[in-house]
Amino acid sequence: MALQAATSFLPSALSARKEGSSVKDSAFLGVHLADDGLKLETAALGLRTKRVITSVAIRAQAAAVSSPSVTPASPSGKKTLRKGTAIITGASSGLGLATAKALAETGKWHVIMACRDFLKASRAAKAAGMDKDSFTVVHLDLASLDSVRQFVKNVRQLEMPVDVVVCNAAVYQPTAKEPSYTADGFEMSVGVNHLGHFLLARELLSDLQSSDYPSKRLIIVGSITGNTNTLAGNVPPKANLGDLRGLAGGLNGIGGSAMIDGGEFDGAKAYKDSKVCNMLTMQEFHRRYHEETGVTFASLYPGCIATTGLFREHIPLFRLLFPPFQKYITKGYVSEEEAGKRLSQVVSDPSLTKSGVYWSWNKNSASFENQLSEEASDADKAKKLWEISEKLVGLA
Amino acid sequence: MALQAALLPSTLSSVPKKCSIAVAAKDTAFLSVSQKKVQAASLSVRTRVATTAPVATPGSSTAAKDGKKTVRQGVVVITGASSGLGLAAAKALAETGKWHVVMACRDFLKAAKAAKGAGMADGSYTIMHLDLASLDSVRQFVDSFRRAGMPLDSLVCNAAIYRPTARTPTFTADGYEMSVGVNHLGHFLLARLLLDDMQKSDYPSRRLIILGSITGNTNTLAGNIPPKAGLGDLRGLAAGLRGQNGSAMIDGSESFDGAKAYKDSKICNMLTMQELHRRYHEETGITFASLYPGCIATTGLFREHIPLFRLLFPPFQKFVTKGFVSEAESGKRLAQVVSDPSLTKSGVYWSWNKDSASFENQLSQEASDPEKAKKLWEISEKLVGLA
Repeated sequence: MALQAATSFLPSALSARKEGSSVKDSAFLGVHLADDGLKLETAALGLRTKRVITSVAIRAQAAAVSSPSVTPASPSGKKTLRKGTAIITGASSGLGLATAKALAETGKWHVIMACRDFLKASRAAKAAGMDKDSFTVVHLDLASLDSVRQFVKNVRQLEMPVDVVVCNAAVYQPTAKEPSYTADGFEMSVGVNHLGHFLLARELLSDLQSSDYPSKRLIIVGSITGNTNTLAGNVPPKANLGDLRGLAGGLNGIGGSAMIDGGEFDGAKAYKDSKVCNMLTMQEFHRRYHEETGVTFASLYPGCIATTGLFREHIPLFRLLFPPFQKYITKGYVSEEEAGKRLSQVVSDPSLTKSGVYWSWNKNSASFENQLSEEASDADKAKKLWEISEKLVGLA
Repeated sequence: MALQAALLPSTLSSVPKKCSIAVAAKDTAFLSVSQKKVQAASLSVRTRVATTAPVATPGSSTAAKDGKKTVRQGVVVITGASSGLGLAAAKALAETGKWHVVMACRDFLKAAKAAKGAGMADGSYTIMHLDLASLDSVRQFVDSFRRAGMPLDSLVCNAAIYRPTARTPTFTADGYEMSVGVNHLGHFLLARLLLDDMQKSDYPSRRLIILGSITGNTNTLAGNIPPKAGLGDLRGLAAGLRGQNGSAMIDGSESFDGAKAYKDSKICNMLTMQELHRRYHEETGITFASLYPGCIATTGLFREHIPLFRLLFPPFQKFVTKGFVSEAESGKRLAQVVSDPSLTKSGVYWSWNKDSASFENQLSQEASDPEKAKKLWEISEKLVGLA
């Protein structure tokens, strides 16, 4: 492998902004079936979500309630909450960009935009009107574990605390007949969406632990299509990890399979499988670390953002018909802006500090705790996934 | 504007100066082409292949400081090393075992795959992210490199973009026209920042190399193919190369020409090399050089050109102008300028003849103009935030 940089340092460099257009991000296909008889429950707590920006005083009070063990930062009577730092992967377009904008414009967050195309991210931030002091672009390519490690070093040298990490980036290759591979030889969808994020989250967990911020969160974006307890999740090909045989074999296609379950390659299924991995990983983080660290671990499905660049590799007819289909037939469509607000809620809303939850939103834009499928809730499978992933990314 | 078909003259006339007749050929990390495996290049100097992986931090001195003069492994940063000339040079240097190559590229995954595809040994290179279209990225690269704890012995400013058919400009993250912003301004900032690191190096031969192009030289046939390079009075550059209100061209011309913007940026590169030589060579002992390796008609630099050009250009260069050179050979030539003990003269624009022997080529009058170089330097300092 390439020689790893021993240490790295980055002063607080702020990105200049330029015109540009967003092209790609992570987003999610499928439908939201709140009205269906399937196993969907509305949490009473979620219904009381307020979307207005709360005052600092109320926030501090709520924070104290949700994290009673956290000592207030200021020993004196005054409780001024410092600006939080949120790392968002894939923040150069779509959901990630909308979230970065929503957080930045509150004035309470500094966003680290972790993107693989630096120029695109700089242009997108400027085009979105983000204040240049509210964000820093730092390079991250989740398709290379070396890049993940360099990113972590670079972030640490910024000398900012890490309060929230949002694992949002994704690739989706719905029509691919042959797999493509990451720098480390893993199939691309699982390599980027799961393994790259797995290493990143594990590395940054210690930074989250040492943060003095009252509400620390690690958020991994999910997708309803990974859940086979929904209609969307039953659209073929269905997600299925099997016994993780392919993953244990390294997903390199050489002498093994590029699919987690060891089956034939299917680009859409690889994406859905990676999302099941994301949700299993969130729950395993919760089981292993929530009590010990107080960090909140959460996943969410903001709705089907049919306009993002996630579908850029799909056929043009799909890209033409999918938005109106979602808007008028399944009613699952949500705008990028609304999706960004929802994700930023999960980042910063004091009422959403419960850990281990897969958040969703109903038609009235109220959040509720959604149910995961049987496979996505399987604790033994999550443990096995965790251990195999550790080996693959070099943590074991 | 003249179509690029004008690049294919129907007749050739002899050029009074001793030089190859060729059109622009450069490599870039920005253009993504399917990377063929680069054939093994052999250096003219005696080579020794490393049998073991280098130490964890390449460039550390060997313990022996007695009479034995063992030169430690050198560290070279190459921009745009994920394809074409940059990749070929990286491979040529790495396989000697005497160099650790830092591949400074904007597409990390592409660089990683290219290095593996070229068969570079795992311990012989490190990929670091650099996007020359953003000055923030340049600064982050420099800080990241310094924290890696490696010395810096050579810097090769190789990356370039070329947009021959563009009718409207595109702009960098900082608002500069893309060709000049990437090819010149990004490299200008990078070279200025890393000069400190090179001064601190204990390596016996430290070199800063900026790739040139013969098409920037109007004393050659290639340089006279329209559109011709011309910086004018640098009015457009002084105004910041922004399309709105000002001009995106260095000379302030109202109409944008992608091919001319590229040629202008190459003149800037050659003026910058000479200004670095005048200001720093005597003081630091660092060798400053530029070169034209020949027309590498197969690289991704021409990706944005029309398909007919890409089809006809290689055979035209190979059989008509005789200026064609393979990627492997050009990489070997660039590696020579990096490491050959006989090429330590500073301030030189190197070229190669048909027998692959290097010689000092002449620059055009504009590319040799010290007043213009000084003015370019001062304006560029302001634009990249050094003044």
